[in-house]
Amino acid sequence: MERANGPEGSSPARPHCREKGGFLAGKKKKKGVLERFWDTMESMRFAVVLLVVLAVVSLVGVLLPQFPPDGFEGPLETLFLQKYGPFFGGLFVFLGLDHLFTAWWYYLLLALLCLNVTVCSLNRLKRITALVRREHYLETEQDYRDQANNRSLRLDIAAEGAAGGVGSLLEQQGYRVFKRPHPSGEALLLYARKGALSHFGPFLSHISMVIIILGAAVSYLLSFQHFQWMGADEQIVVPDLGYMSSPGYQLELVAGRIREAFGSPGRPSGLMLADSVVRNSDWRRLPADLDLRRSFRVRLDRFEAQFTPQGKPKAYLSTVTVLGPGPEDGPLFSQLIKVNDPLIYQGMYFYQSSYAPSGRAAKWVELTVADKDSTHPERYELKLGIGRPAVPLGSSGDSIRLVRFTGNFRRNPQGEVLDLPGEDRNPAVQSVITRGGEVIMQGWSFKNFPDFSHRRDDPYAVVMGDYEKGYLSGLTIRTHHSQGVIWAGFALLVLGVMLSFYVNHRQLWAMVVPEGGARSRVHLAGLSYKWKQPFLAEFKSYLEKIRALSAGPPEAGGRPSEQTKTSEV
Amino acid sequence: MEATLFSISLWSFFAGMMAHFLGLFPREGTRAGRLFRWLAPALVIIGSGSLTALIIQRWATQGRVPISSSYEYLSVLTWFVAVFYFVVLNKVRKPLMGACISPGMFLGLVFAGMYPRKLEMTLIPALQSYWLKIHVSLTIIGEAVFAVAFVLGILYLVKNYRADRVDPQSRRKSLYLFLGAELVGMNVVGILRALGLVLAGVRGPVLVVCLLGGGFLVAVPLYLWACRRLVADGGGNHGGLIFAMTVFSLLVSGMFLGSLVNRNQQRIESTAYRIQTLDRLVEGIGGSGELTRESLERLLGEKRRELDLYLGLEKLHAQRKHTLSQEEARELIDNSGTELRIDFPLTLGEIRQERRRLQGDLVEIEALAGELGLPVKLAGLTALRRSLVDDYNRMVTSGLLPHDSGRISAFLGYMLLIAVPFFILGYLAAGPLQDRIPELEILDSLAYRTVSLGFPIYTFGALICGAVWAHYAWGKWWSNDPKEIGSLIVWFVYAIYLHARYVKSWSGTQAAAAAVLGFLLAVLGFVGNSVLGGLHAYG
Repeated sequence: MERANGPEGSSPARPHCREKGGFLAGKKKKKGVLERFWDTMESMRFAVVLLVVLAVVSLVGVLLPQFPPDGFEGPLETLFLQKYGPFFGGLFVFLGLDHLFTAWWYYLLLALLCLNVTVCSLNRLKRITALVRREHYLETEQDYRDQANNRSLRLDIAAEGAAGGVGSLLEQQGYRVFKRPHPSGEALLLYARKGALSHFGPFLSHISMVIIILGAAVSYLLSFQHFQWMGADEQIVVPDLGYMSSPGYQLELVAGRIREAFGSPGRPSGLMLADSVVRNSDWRRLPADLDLRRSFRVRLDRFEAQFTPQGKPKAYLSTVTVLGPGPEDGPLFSQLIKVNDPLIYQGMYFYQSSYAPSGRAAKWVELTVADKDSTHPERYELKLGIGRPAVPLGSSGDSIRLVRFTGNFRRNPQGEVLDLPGEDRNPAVQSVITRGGEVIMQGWSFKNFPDFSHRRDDPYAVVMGDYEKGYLSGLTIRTHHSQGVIWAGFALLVLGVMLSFYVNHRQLWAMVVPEGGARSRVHLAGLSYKWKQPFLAEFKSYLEKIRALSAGPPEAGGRPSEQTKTSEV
Repeated sequence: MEATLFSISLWSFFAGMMAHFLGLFPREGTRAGRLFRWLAPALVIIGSGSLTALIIQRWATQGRVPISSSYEYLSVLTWFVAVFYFVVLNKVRKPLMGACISPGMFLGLVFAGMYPRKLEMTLIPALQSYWLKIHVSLTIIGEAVFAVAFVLGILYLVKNYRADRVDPQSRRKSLYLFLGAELVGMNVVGILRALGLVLAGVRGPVLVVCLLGGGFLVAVPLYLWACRRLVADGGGNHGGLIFAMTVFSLLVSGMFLGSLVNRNQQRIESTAYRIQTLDRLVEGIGGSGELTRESLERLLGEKRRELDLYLGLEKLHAQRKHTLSQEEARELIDNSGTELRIDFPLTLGEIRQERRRLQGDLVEIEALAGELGLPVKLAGLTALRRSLVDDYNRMVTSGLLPHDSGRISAFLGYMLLIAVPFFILGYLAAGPLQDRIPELEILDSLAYRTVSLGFPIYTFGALICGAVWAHYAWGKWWSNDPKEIGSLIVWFVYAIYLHARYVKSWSGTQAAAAAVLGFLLAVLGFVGNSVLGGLHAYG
């Protein structure tokens, strides 16, 4: 907002971005709730308050965990209760601080900000348009003297010639020049402007923010994301997500997100059910009865994780081949997926986002899990992959999954497990056993030290057997709904900021008064919105050029512009 | 070489800063005054020249723009501040401007020097993108510009202060307000601790410091709330001065403390390295139970063979001039007599880095063996190891800051203690220095021009390019990562600054305060990731 309507303290007390003749101008009755709300939406101070509130709230969101940390099992709520106690933890969860960025009131704040910015911008649009298209003349000598930069010159040429000379001079300088005779008919008036479009800069940059927020919101609501582990030579069937563009599905999705924001996930139905299967399943084996057209397949030909001699990651490279939908269809093309370089095909983005959970991975690990409870001493022989879904332990109701494998188990002095490169000197695997969704034991098992694994009171003994090494590539598969809107928002933001800061609106006025014979007098005035100092120099250079139109001696009249007080805005 | 260049620029900046300070005292026009007016920029020129050489050298060695570690980021940031130093000094020929910006350069390098200076030949995969250059370099330029606006804002607030118009009572009031707020804050933190909610594991004198820092966290909003009237106070602008001096002293003390903590961290790391080296010696003993000259030679011989292999690889690479594959190096590896397992392909940078590491290891092992005096029994080695581990543990646990909980509040507490003398110095110096500060209009206009130069760069570089890069690297435009939120808040503050200038009652003091606050938040955003982690925590 370029200018508030009057200083603070005048009535109404708050600076409004609202112009006279705005949407609701002229009503003087006692204000209803709606009108007060509208007033708030027109208030620039409200925008600042919103920005400050958003900043503070976002800071809280950064300080409190928003996702379960690595290695923590179970919902975030339990972490909050554990970490901050029943009172504060409960309060935080009640306020939605465990999913702050998706809480309903966070959406509300963003929506209010968008509304406020839109209302303010639209209110100003009329005035901006008027200003930009303005053809405005100064008609009295006093008007000229009132301008920040002004000067009078006497020229030895006739008025028409002088006016034409001044006009073409300014046109050469890139000004748009308008001419008109003085109402009295005794003089010629000129108005010239340049860079008036810069007034659209603030408008564009504000509106673009709204566009970006809206685009991001729609993208968040309607985009699809799936994480997929893949081993070499494995292939996935990428389901046709065309159903996602049906309005019915999108409505359901939005409704679901809103319910989620209020903390009550509803029961999925119809399409949502199919969706949940697609979202949660391993795409290497989608259920056969899933009634979805299949659009294409992706095969991982090779995955390579490269390291520097110091063991730092250097590159993760997945070579994939895209194949036709059916099992008999042939390959379409191959591509290398790198971090920073996703595969984009049919609106789906395949990102290299992880590789077999950590360090040097195994394709599979053999485990012997023995139930230590003497009443039913069961032994389970299992062959598990890392990071795959949990596998049930017989009929006990417990299930086990492998979280991490390392060929060279060693802890650093801080107790963190290192993945050292080189030969496998101490292969170890980290497993998690859950009962009814709750973790009952987790820990490392070592191939070379079968007895050195678990605590005495653990319910199971997990012994690690053979394994085969190999990497898994972790791909994130996404759609980016309405990303064009976001790109457009960025473009408008750049354009708006450029216009605001790098284009300057300058206006020049001239009145050419004939003084009999081949003589005339030129009153010149100029106004610049920005960069007053450089404009002063520019103004002076125009004076020199106008003076050069005739050989006549200049006469100092009016205020010399050097002495005018210019303050930079 | 790099260390020399770094020292030259660090100490030139220091000398330049001191010359600037000394130059403030003699009247203008005197001989001493003229001397310092020439000497100070000359020293800064030497410093910037050597910093430029450092950056270019690092650029050449690593083969990419050096902006990917904290050390490199801060060095380049300092370089840009130096550029703006010359620009601003050229515009405003006031010695005080130089005196105000030069500490920024010195402190920037002090801070940079506390981060590991290690060369990284290979970036982690997430950073291997041309967006790194665009995003980070534009952010650096934006922040360097904001740093200049920060100095101008501080100067504005100091210049705006009219000692004669402040009644002595309100002066005292602000002090009482702060002490009162701090006391309340300490009590709040104390009660929370008694309830077992915070600082549960902290004891001893560190607890007092933690209480002080935690109290400060609680006190600041209280103080700001109570202080509002003083800040808005039209007569004298005493609140503005307090704000400026508070921010200035906290920033300086934070940098000072941060460098201490980092130095301590480096000592811990070097001890860990020593323990590792000792472990190598123990491994080299074999069955005899004694480390003799022969067994040491055997160990060193193996290392030397590895080193020779890497030297050979380096030479081979120089001939081929491209990334080495396994097949090309097969012969060298087979003939080297080592059992190294090397992951291919290798770039020249990686080979050099490993070669340097091996050279360092050799020197360290020989030095350690020399210290021990050969032959040495296994028991002697284990005893030494035990004492080193004890050292290590002591350093970790009894460091300046508590090991786990209360780290932040202890940091704030120490910061507060260190800030006090800086605050008093600044407060006392404000009056006498006022004559030397340029006029308010000039400062305001310069600050505005600075911010309107930096804001578009920051908008494009930090926010838009960041989002676009994240779109291609992480598959998300925005992840609510600490640094992202931090940059957004910084952007908000400068947006408020720009808007504030169009509202009459907000311009002047408030705008200057916003310019100061914005940079402060940018600094917090820079250090924030090392505390909070997140996607931008690259080291």
